Amino acid sequence: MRKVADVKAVNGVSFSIGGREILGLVGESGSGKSTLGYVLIRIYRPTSGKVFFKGSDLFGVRGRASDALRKDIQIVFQDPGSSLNPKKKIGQTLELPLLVHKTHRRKDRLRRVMELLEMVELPASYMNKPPYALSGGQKQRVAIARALATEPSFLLLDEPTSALDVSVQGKIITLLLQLRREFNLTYLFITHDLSLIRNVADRVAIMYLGKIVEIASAAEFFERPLHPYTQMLLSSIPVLSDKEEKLKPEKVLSTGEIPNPVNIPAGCGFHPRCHKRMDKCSQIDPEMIEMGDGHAVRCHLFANLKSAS
Amino acid sequence: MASLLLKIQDLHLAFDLYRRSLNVLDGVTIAVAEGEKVGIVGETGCGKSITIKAAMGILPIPPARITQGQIQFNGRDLLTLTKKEMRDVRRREMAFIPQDPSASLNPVLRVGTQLIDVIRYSGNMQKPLSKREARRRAINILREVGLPDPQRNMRNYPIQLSGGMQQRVLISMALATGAILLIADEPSTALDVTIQDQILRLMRELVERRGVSIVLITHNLGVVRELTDRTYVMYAGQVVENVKTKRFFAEEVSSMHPYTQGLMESIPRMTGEGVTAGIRGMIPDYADPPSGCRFRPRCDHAMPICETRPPAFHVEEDHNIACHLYKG
Repeated sequence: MRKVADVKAVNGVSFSIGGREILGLVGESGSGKSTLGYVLIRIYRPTSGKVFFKGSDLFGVRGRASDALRKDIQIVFQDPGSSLNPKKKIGQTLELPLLVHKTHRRKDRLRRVMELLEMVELPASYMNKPPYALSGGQKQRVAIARALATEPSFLLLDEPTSALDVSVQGKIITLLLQLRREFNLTYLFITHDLSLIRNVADRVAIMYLGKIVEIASAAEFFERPLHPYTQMLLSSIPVLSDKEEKLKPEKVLSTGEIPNPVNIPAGCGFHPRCHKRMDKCSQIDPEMIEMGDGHAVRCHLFANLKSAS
Repeated sequence: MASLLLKIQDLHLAFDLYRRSLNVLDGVTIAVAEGEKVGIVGETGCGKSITIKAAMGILPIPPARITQGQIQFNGRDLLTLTKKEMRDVRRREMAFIPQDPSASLNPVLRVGTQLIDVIRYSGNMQKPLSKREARRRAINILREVGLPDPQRNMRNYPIQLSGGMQQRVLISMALATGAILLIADEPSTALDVTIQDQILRLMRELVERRGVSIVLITHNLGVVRELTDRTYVMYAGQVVENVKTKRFFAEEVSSMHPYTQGLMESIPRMTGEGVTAGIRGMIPDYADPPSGCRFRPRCDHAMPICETRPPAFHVEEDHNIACHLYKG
């Protein structure tokens, strides 16, 4: 096939996640957040760069060590309606990872499946049901149970509640937080819901056009957003009370749309939509600037501040 | 007060299945004044889309069956109109803005062609407008809805436009007919938050500029607060609460309907108070809804009377709540 263009879906991203941490990865559609997540579970191979998990290079290992990593890193997808096999009973779905990784003997597998259902607060009788007999929230519980089957330490949660109603979302989030405490899990939580991530994550990273443009602790991120894009996003959220309205940064009128990643603007990718753009923004791509306390931002506005201090 | 444009009065609707029938709507009353922006909120399966489809006359009958109630629109009783008359109402006076814009545009026709067709046949079907005139109006209208570079974008196919631009095209089609009522079913759910902000702003401007009324169906209470004048909360085929939006969001959660309370508390806030576990249980089976109040099995405040008598609306300073807790 003729190659038409390279899409740089994720471009020069560096970040780290501590053990038992929840890192929220936020961005609009097309920002590259899911692509980045899929690199971590080795669906995609990076063209350059490295990913280290517990000290070993994700893309440098082979054989048994590689299988062990697969067991240790699991994913929960967005839409449980399409991530569960409609022709398999719930029990079969939960048994599959045990078979693939040969973790349990035949007689122990049934017990383990029941254990998994119990972990996600579903009755054991559900293993004989097909997915269509379950509600959306219950299906997502099964998807979580499947991810936990191999006793992973790291879960990639790719918009785990955005297909669910808000009253169900609460239950799933509560369950996820409880499971993290119980099994010392680490989460990379991908979402576009900023209000949700405020309440779930320890730290928040925000992506735009394949780059992380700001990263900070959750409280800091919402109290002192620095990047103009973060400010635009936060000020666009429809909230429920005047109290929350006051927490939003001063209204930044949302203009324009995220460009096609085939044609990334020169300089800073956000400059065509930015309300604070300067001349150099269309020429030079800013570097990530460390602002202290783990708060970093990729914007020219802060370059001078840094060199002056 | 401005005169009423749409009044759905005590609407009961059932779906007849093979052996049983589902009592989906149970006495829904919704009123929309001229120039008013009304929001209908509720979770999946609460009947909000069915209500509005019944009003537009686009539910297949059978299996749907309106068992009781009236729908008044612009001085006419819609339920007595013939199919052809109803089609004309939809063609000229109502416009529908759907949730997923990409599924509502024809993928094999240029968006300009689709819009021009709508404009040409929005008047007299026998005497369509000239293509030239329709094209001129199309460009104006696309400019009005803020589509960048209308002349160029009209030549694009839907897939070449972003979700936000597709939604702008659909809104332009709604306006092209000169509709006085815009019915928007989750118009911004498929969009990103910054684009959602732009679309809501556009809808607000259109109401101000053209004086149209809007019925907004959504599960996002934040969007309701941003856009609407009046909020209806639906649960299991009933309106459980109806109040001026401004007042609704200024009030303490504790003075709302227990279902609304649960909904409000489920929504994660910017203030970072954590996430609550939501509302227990599930929406009831419409073939056999609970007796009395339909929310009773999930309600923390359920009393004996809730089982025997469906609650009537309690009205206090224009705040309508259908719950036995609020009485006298």
